Amino acid sequence: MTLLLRILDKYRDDFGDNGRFSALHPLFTTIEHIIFAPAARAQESPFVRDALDLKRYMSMVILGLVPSVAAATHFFGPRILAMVVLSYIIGGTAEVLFALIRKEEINEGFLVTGLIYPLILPPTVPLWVLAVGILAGVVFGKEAFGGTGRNIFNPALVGRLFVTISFPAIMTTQWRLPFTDAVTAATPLSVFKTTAALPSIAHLLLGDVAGSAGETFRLGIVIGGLFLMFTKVSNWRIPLSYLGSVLLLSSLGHALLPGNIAPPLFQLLAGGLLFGAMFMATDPVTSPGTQGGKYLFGIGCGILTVLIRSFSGYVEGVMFSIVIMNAFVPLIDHLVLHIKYRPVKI
Amino acid sequence: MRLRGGYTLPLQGAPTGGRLIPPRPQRLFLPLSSRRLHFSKVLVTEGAVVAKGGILAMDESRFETGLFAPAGGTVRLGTAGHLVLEEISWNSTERAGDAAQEARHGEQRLTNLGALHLFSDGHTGDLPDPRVPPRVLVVTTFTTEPFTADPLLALEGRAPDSVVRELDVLRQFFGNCRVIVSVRTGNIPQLKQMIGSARSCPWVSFLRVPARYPFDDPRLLTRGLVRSNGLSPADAVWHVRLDDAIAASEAVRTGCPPTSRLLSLAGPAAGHPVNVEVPYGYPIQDLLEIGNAMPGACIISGGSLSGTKVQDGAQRGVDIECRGLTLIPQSGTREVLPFANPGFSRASYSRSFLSALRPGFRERSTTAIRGERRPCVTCGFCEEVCPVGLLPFQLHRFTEKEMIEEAARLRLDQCIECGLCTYVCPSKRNVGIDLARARSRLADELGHAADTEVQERTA
Repeated sequence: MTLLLRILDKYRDDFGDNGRFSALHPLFTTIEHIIFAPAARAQESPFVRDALDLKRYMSMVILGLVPSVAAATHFFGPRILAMVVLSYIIGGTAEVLFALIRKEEINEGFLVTGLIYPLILPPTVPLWVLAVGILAGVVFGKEAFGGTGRNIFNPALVGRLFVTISFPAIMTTQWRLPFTDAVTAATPLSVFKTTAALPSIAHLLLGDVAGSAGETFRLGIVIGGLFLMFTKVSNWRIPLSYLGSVLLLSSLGHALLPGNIAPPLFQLLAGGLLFGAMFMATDPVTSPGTQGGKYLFGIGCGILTVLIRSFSGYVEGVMFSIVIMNAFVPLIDHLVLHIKYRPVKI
Repeated sequence: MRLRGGYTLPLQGAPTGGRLIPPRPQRLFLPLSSRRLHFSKVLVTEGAVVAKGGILAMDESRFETGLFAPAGGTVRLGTAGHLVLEEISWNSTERAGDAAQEARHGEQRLTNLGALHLFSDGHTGDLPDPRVPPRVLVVTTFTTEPFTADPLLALEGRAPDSVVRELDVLRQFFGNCRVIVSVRTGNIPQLKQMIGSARSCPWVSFLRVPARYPFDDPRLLTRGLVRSNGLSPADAVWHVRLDDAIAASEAVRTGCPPTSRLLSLAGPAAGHPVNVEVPYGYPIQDLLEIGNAMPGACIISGGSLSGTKVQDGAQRGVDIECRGLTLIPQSGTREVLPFANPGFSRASYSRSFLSALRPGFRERSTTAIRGERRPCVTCGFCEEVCPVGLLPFQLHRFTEKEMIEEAARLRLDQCIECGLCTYVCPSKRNVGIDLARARSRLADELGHAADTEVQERTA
């Protein structure tokens, strides 16, 4: 390892401000900091710092997603891994280019986006559609706003929406049952919309139904989500208020309009709701910062999800509801702060 | 009393055992400035012989507080920023014949008893105004920050009811104020007898506070008392630690200024973490030897979160407000693939390391920042941990964009600079440090002290 450090030190000046490759400096720092912890020390109080850094933070989210990825590969074959790799390559190249042009460091936020994005696509989506989508998500959903920490919308969802709207025919015919390749199947939500038939709860939980690549093994999603809440990486208020409001609304709605609104347990388990509530709505950058705002955000997402699922042309409302509520996040935070902090008389 | 947030760092190297009294040094290096005082006016000349308790210097801008000799000796002025006492006689009891001091001798005031620095104003945390005696005196019997000395060590070798008598002396000195003793939650045997003997005194009451950092901060306790115990924001509230209260009471009774202080010598770089009682001006080099400090360690006067670095050679002796020396190893070899480390030996506020499964785990931290600086991801840790209930990430955004009015609206003035937001940030941003700078700028902009009481309190 000291050999590696010596090699890095030897070429450090070449990538420095006056070096030959100064334009590639962010790449050098990224590689250096993947292998070695940074050498910076605290010069003023506090003199110690917490062991958690953003690399570890993102690694925790990736750990939470591992059950979904493993289940997806098990159900739909190694194609899923190819999708993940392609997503990382295409989106990662876009991230790196933007960082180099901006002369900023390459941020780790993409490690999570690049993994979530293929998991919310149908398992047999053409690879070129996936590539277009991740590029759109990263560029329009994140980099155009200024990069990590400054984006308003969840980049994976922006990419998903882009391909849904641009290639509607392809997106609606790519659903398959697990372990089969040949026969097109309909997702449980679309089945309910047309025939009001419901699959068994066990099938929904364990993934024996059609759906997006990562959303079918719901037991794994719940385990991953609880793991993230335990490690404090995701805030429990959003899944609680999101799932709670869906439960409440669908209980009421199913009693009043049983033809349109699905029963509560099915509503909770079907589609991408669990995945969205655990991994996408809880994204810290695009969800409110205030605690009260998180509750409002979750409730808003819940209302929109049930409405879009039950009364619109689309069968799945999760991605739309999260993106629409993302747009309201600055307003929600502003409202909560206005109420919490009354004017100071000086 | 409702307290929120707070976090006690699981830091290795807590001082163990009782109070150690180290051997007397040959020379005493008295710093001419401490955390809140700057003794700009030196009243003695080179070679002057002073007696124990004689006045050496004065801070004219802070109520003319005096710096008094902890022992008799000869004054040397050669060391920058210090008054050095040589040829020390430890047993002298006569007071120096300073004319001005004789004139004030009859009038007992904290400033010429050399005891003002032991107290803090409850609302501002600064030196209290000695001209306005307090309505309430809060005596703290515990410490939370790693690492500062435990005030309960002052009870060693004392009869339990003598403490109540000392507090009574102080109470009468302050014109019959109320005394509130804050006690950490849990079973503390040393305090049981003290609480029992205080039952007959109507002027003392006890307050149970969880011992989490920074719940021993004077401003937090005072705000909590204003909220829930009916204190008015206009009442003068003073804070004192138990060991300092006993020292102040002795000063009031005997007329002699306090001369020694309870300190902790602790931290991961202290081979022998211990609590000591030393006279003011005790050489820091000797203390480092007693604590068996690792060479090259970072020496901090105070705790690991709110202390100040002792620059090599700049401070030679213990100042009168020092609460301890925390020794933290400087980071050494760079760790390989740090984010993949399962983390049995790394502690974090989040539970993302395996150390979360180890109860009572203490980490051997270094001064390493442990991560690159990244944009704020609004993870919310700083807000969870803030004891005042502010939104540090939002305030930090405002200060970066120079939006001073919005930051004032979010009560930036209430920050007590505990340092927890900076500690906890995964993006390694200097949240609290930047907020402290913005706070002083806010004070300038508003044209008066940032800690002025306001009419409407936060919801």
